[in-house]
Amino acid sequence: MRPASLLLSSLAFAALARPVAALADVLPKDPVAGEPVLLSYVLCRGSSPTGIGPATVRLDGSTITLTALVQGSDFSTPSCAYTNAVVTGLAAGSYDAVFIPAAGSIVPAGNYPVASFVVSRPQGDGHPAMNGLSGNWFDPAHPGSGTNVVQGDSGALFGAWLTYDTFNSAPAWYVMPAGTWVTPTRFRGILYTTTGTPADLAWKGSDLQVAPFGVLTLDFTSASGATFEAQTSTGADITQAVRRFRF
Amino acid sequence: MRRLLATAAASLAACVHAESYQVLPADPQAGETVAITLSVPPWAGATCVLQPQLDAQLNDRQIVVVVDASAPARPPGAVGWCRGGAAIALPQAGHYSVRVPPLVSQTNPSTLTTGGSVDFDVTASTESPPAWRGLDGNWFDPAQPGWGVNFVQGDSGALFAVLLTYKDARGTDGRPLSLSSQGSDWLVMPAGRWTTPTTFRGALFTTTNASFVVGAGAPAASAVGFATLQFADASHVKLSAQYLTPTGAMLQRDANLQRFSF
Repeated sequence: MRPASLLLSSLAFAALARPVAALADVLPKDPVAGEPVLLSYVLCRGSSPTGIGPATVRLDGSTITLTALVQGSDFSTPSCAYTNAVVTGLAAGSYDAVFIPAAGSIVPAGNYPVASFVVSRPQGDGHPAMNGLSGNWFDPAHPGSGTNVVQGDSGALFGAWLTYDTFNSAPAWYVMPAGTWVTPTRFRGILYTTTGTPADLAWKGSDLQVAPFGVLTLDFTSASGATFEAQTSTGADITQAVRRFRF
Repeated sequence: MRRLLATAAASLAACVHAESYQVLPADPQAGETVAITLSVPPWAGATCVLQPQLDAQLNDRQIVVVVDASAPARPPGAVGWCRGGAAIALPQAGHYSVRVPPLVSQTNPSTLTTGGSVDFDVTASTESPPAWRGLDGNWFDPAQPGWGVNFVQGDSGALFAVLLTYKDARGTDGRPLSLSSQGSDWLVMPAGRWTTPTTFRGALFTTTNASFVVGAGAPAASAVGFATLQFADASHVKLSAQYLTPTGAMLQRDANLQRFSF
């Protein structure tokens, strides 16, 4: 669900006394067994503002339960709030996600259906077709940004997407610290945004905040060419043909 | 009338800002690319957003820093230049001087800076081949997880480094930011030289470009500092970086980093 859709949903749900939870997105769209899945969900109600705290996730069989505190005040303007949660350890099969407001929430207790989705069996054995992929990968049509890839001894990739944020075109980076070879040539992982102690102050570990932001997929066509795709929970979907920068 | 004159005088004064210039590193060698940084202190009510695109031209051992004709305007009192810089390769040892004429925006002539000059010496090159290969990876301080430096070592042995860090505590208007408003930041050292078999160093750049949501834009890079990497072995390095923050403050960062293995 995109921001414009959120607004429409907000208006549509305005007349409802009972809040409505809905799955905004499942990333990746085609999850395979063993890889983490980002659930982006939205809660709409006929009052404003509404905020959802960090969610805890519980997997019980084929049911995924998301629990979070719903906060807000009773104003007349309807609104929606959304948040992200990562669920791990999913085997192949069908899943139903439900949302349960935490104690103290401003919405009535109960199970709010969110959505259903399918997890497929992976292709391949989880090992990469290529090694030695460490380097800076960029799209020649988009100079000035790119992705740094480090391939560990395990074959897994660690990616840092070097880009620019929506405010002021200032530099921003997002990190994929882990992921899965969902095929021998496709590596995919959750993309996180981090916030830390400002650069001009003494580092304080408690300042570090890490939040899921989207999914990064790298499809390698060779050891020097790949397709980069970043899908964010805010609805952005960026696809680029990248190649390794040699020097 | 007297109040009006006083106001006008204050406005004129507010349009001219004493800036400072610095050449980094402090001990440049022949063959290195140095950073000539510009820092303009933010003034009351100004927001540091724009960066002048500076260019440095070398004539014998005289360096002239000029502002690119396409530089954005600096409207008085609203949006300002607080940092900027130029990088220039110095092929020979000797005594150099940098001259910076007053910077005038074509679109707003009232937004000038005063200009200045800096003298410095360049010593003979001590360039050496690196002691180690295969330095690619993410390097971080285990006591400070959450930021770090990424290295890619090219076939030439040179390093391409990216400092993955965070913005400083003040917003571009000079006011403190809440933690939730502070975001990530990255600076890049795209090239440099091994000045000893264990020390690599190079100019640090910051870049701006269109948001990833918008798509391709026109990237712009400014040299804002310099970084030195002193390797103890193939898994441990000392980082010393000096660079201007977006608000024009010169920041010194030192850290002992080790390679992240996974």
